[in-house]
Amino acid sequence: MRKIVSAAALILITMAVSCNLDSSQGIYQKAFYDTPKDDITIQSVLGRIGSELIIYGNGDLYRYDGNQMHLVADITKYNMEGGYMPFMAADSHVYFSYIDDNDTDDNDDDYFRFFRATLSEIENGLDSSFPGSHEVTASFSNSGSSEKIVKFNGLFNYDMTKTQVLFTVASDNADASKPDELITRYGFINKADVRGSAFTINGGAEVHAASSIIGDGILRAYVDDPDYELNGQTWTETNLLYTTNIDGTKAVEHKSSDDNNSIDYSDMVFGSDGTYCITLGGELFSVSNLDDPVDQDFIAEQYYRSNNLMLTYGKNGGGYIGYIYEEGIYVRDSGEAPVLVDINDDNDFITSCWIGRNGSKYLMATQETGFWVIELAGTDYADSSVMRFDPERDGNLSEYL
Amino acid sequence: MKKTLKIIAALLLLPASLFAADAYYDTGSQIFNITAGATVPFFYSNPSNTNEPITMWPGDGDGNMHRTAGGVGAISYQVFVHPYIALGAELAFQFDFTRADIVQTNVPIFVKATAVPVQGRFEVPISIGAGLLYMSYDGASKLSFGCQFEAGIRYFITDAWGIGLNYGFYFFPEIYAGEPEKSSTMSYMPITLTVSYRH
Repeated sequence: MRKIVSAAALILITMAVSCNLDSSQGIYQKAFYDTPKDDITIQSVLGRIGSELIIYGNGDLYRYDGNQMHLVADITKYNMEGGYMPFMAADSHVYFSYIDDNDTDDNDDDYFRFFRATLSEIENGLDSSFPGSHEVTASFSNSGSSEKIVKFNGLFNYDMTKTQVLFTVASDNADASKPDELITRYGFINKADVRGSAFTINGGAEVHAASSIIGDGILRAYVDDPDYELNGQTWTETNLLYTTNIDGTKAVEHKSSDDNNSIDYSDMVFGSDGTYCITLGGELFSVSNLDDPVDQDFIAEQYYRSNNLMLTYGKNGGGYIGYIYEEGIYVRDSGEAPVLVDINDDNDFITSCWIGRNGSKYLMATQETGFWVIELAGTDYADSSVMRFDPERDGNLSEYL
Repeated sequence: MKKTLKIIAALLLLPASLFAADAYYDTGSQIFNITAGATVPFFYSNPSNTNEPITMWPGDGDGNMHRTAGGVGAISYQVFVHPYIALGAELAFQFDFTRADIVQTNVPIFVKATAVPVQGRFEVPISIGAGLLYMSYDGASKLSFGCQFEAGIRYFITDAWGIGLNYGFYFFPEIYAGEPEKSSTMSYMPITLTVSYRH
């Protein structure tokens, strides 16, 4: 009888071993945190590791090798539980930000920290105790050291080489509940040493508290609701545009919407060749001087239809800019008129998107239809092709047109 | 006060009075059930998630369990060890879909005890069960333990064949002894129809 019981127990223990289970989470946790995989939505392009783009989309980390999208890990669980948010990929690591609450309910002793992990470490489960976890320090060109970061308003890795950050600071002796003592600043996150184990924020240009980063060195402050509460203050309607020095040390405030004939900055895009584009009345306009009022003469000069203008990609030092319109994708060489890439059926593209460039290939993501690659070819782009990542084929590209 | 105590005593003795009715079953009687129906995600307890340690009900929103309503099918065989109590086993297959549109399945293999205080043509079975649970999702699987509670009504159209309606709770803890951060508990409410054959 004892042998039978022992044998049954052994069988039970053997069977109880989990099979093919992600070592970092249980079955029900995996099911709870899982997100749709069929149409991948890019949340941000984090940068490069080696020759591969590292992409955060649908709560997952992906690496794009130029031909195929590979799932690295689902990190939704860590985002929901630990607040881990990837914001940069470089030096063989992905960098995550999170709030260290010091195991207390007191927000005053919270610290914003970063840590980094290799792709293989991420596959085995994220842990902020990885080597490289480090508190953020900030250095501002025009302020002393008596300021403390109390909030990160946003991280944005616009061109895959530098991470822009919006954050709120308070002076050391200020009560965080006093809005007058809070200042929103804009700067860049830099690795403080060659190993990337320390971080500093350089720049620190003072900007409006309702700002958001909409391009490389360009911010928009917009409050639609006059009763909008932010940092303890009630903000009245505003519509400001900032451009900043390249080192983030100074923000230039441009004219408000009222001054500029009701320009809606919400659809503003930025060309790295120094051209700004603004939508107005459903049209797209190119603007060289943001302080010039928009008038009918300007409108007649250069405009394109813009029913669904989306985020664009600008090549450093001039070059291509891709525009997504109702009728397709435009590509423009620096200083040249835009050329429509010959796409007959682009209805699937009419959602917000991001375009990244890898050689002649433009990587794009939509909110509804996943990843796409547009490969430009031919002098007038007539030989261009469009391919879609096919989730049923493990991320392989399939010809679309 | 005395009247109140009498009412409470009567309520407590009610089940006993039901058992006092003539028993339909004999010790050794057998009953076979085929069950199918829907499962509603009830709650999910995940202590590792400090933001949402408990989520409830189907749906993808905040506070929901990130899964759909699902289905369950089961077969059970029981033998009456007492005119009012049957013991046996049940094999079930339960499934639903996560917000990733991937099916998650649970296969309980439970020892099941059923009390039938009201029996005959119209019956009220009340069951508890416990045993092994095999759960799987997206290529991963684990063997754990689970338990259930179920109550229902059933009506025998003929002397041998009957149909019933059941309602209950599944409790599926997923336990990792050395890694408590991976442990969590899922609960469902099955609402099922049963075809019964007794002999």
